[in-house]
Amino acid sequence: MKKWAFFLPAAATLLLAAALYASAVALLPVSEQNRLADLNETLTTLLPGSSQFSVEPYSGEDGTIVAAYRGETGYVVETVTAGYAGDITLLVGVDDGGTVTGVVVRDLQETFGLGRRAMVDVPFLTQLLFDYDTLTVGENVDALTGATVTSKALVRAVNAAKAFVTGADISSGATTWGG
Amino acid sequence: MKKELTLYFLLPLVTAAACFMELLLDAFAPAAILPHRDLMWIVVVTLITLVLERYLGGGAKRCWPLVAAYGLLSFSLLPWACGFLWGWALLRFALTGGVAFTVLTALYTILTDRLSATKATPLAPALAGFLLFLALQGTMGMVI
Repeated sequence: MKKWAFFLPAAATLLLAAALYASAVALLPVSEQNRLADLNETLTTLLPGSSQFSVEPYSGEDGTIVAAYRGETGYVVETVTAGYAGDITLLVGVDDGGTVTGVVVRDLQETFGLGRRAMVDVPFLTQLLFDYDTLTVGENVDALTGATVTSKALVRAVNAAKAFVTGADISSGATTWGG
Repeated sequence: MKKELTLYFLLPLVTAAACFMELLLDAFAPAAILPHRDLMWIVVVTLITLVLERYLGGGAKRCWPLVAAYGLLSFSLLPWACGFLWGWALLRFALTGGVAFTVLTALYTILTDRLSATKATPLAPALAGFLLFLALQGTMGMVI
């Protein structure tokens, strides 16, 4: 076999890269449009009674909160907390009275069969909507079996979102890994 | 196509297919939670490539510097072209990809060479790949 034949796969890789680049550029407007539509639908679902949202700047000390969307009836707060296998991104809807109206996991890379159940485990997620001032795993929230760190991360996110809306002085110590 | 080149053609093809799927999901299913581009992502792409190569009759004599070079090229150029990674993150990912691809190719080649030395089920290459995948679950969550 000729020596130059070993460069043929490199040429094929370059062609594939060019094709991927063209696809990425072509899909960019669609991607942006669908992302915004999805976000708006999620925000509307999380905070019933609100249809228009505006991003409100957050300058507080709680490193958990990354964005806050103001609706007519409250806020949807985007939080990032450290789980067992990476960061967990959560959207939490809280009405002006401080009641959690909805929670949705946006990103999570926890272990299959354990922490990953936090996305879909209805009994666990329902507890996050309970009307307590502060949720605490082991007291008023039952952790997912085998996923205590993940459960605490979600509870921490909900507490931070509630504190943001009610103005409560929540301990920032809760942002440490594992809670 | 020469048997020696099968692996070097398949790796960018499989990587590009994975990247393209991710582009499509990002565009049309933005709420989907996709696997992060980490060591496990590299492991899965590499093992699919190796299993496919074995079924396509490849797996001939390896040129190890070339294996590393194509690992580096595929795991740098293709994610960059999609806009997934750049800068320092891209460099780390590419280096990890190059090393992981070389190591996994060596491990998988040893495994399948042993299998082809005796009578084995046609499923053996796929099972060997799955076995390696299970063994490498321990690297899940490893920061690269």
